[in-house]
Amino acid sequence: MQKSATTSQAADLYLSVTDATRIINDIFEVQFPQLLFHGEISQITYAQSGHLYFTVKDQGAQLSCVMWAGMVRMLKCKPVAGMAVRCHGRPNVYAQSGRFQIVVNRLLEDGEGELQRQFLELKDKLQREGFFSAERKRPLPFLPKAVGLVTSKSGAVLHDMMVKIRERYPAMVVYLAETRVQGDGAAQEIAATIRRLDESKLVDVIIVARGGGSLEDLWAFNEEAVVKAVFAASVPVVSGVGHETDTTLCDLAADVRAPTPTAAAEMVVPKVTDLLQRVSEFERRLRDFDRWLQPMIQRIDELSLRLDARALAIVAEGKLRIKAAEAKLASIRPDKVIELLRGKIELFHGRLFRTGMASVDRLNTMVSQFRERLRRAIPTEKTEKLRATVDTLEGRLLVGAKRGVEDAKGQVTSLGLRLDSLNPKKVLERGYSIVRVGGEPVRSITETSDGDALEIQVVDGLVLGTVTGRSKEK
Amino acid sequence: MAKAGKDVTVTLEGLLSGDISAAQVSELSFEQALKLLEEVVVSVESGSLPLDRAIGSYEKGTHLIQQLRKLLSGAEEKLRVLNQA
Repeated sequence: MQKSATTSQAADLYLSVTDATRIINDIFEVQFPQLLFHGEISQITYAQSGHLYFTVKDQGAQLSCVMWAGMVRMLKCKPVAGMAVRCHGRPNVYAQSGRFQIVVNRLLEDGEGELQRQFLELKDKLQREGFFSAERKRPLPFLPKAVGLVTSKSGAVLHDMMVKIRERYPAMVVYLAETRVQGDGAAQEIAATIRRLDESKLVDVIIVARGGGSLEDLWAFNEEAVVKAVFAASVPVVSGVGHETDTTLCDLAADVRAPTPTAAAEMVVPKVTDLLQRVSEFERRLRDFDRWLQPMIQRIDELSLRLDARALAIVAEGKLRIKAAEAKLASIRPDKVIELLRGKIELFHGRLFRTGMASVDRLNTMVSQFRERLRRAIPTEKTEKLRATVDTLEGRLLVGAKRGVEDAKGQVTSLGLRLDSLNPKKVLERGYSIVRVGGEPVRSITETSDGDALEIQVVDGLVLGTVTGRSKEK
Repeated sequence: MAKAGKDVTVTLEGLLSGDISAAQVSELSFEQALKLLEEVVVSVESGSLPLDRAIGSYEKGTHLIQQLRKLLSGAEEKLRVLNQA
């Protein structure tokens, strides 16, 4: 009765979880419509949805915060771990998980966070001291004989790295040097573990690894002790601390910085298949040489066989020739040789003589042949003909010449007759006379003077006279 | 640094002249052996070696390949925990 009353009473008094959550949220909303607080961001996640999940903390407490995507887009700064911020938001219990959170609607950067400042200070100092210098970085061994891991045995990191190593190079020897990787004194422990592993001389490369976490979680890897131990190691050190976005001072001091622990394993341990492929490639190239070499050797064998055969043949032939020559030599007798030579001389002499005679004969023949040819070239019939022609020509010449003379005679007679008619005697015969004065014929009255002696020629002689006057015309 | 093979300097010349024993070859690191193999292959391929040396190189090359294969074989996982000092 009592119990049942209590139960029913309890049913009335107790709220459902959903209702309780709603009431809490209602109270928050009334009491803290806007909560203003400041602190340092640690552990920040940019979700796929665009929402921003982060924690704001100080030495004593931390608040889970969420900022909706719409607000994130309006942010003037990019919140990162270690950033000191001033936030405006409203408290809220996320009903599904019961998680208390602040829904931040305004976020302002508030200078540098304390850890961030420490980090930068130490970084500057160590940088000046040369702990991060690029010249000091050493190359990783091509294929380590053994890999040393400095990490925690708990957590997925060791497992993930071992899976990666086994997958790449099953026979790789790995030494695990276990250490705490966070919390008080973790840095000193990490540093001591690196030194111990290095001093053991068991490994030729060291991986310092830790999974992802907040700036605080990774803090040990930002301490000077770790940086110095990494720097002092006698073998190359690969740092794979946190996620790709986290950069620790251990990363900067290491010879190689890997974005994650598994990436560090990949960098240190080559893929056995790649190596086998390279070996096979070289093997193939060597085989090529062998493939060239073997036929070469065969060819040499073949040539040497042929050489042998040829040499034998030459020797055999030589022997035969020598034998034949010996036989010939044996058959020769000196007296016979002289006889043979004499015969040859006579033969030669005879030939010489015959040759001489033949030459004289040939000359005679040639002369008579020439004569004959000359005779034939100028035959008698031809001369007779020529003579006849000459006679004819002579005859014609004589006839021509006679006729020319007759003609000339005729002409001379006719000319004589014509000449005769011009004879002055004939004119005198016709009664004309010629008067001369001083032997010169008188042609004009002017040629005479009174008293001039005149000679008047008539046909049968001279009549003498004197000029007594003259008159023009009659 | 890498202590493997630190004390042995192995050259192709030494390998071919026989100054380097088979035992020393087996002590070579993978990288050294691979580098030697490459030198052997390149020199053989270049055709500049006299034939007898080329044949010698070829033989050394095949030994190196065996050595490299040996280094790469073995399937057991070898995780050893370093004892606390």
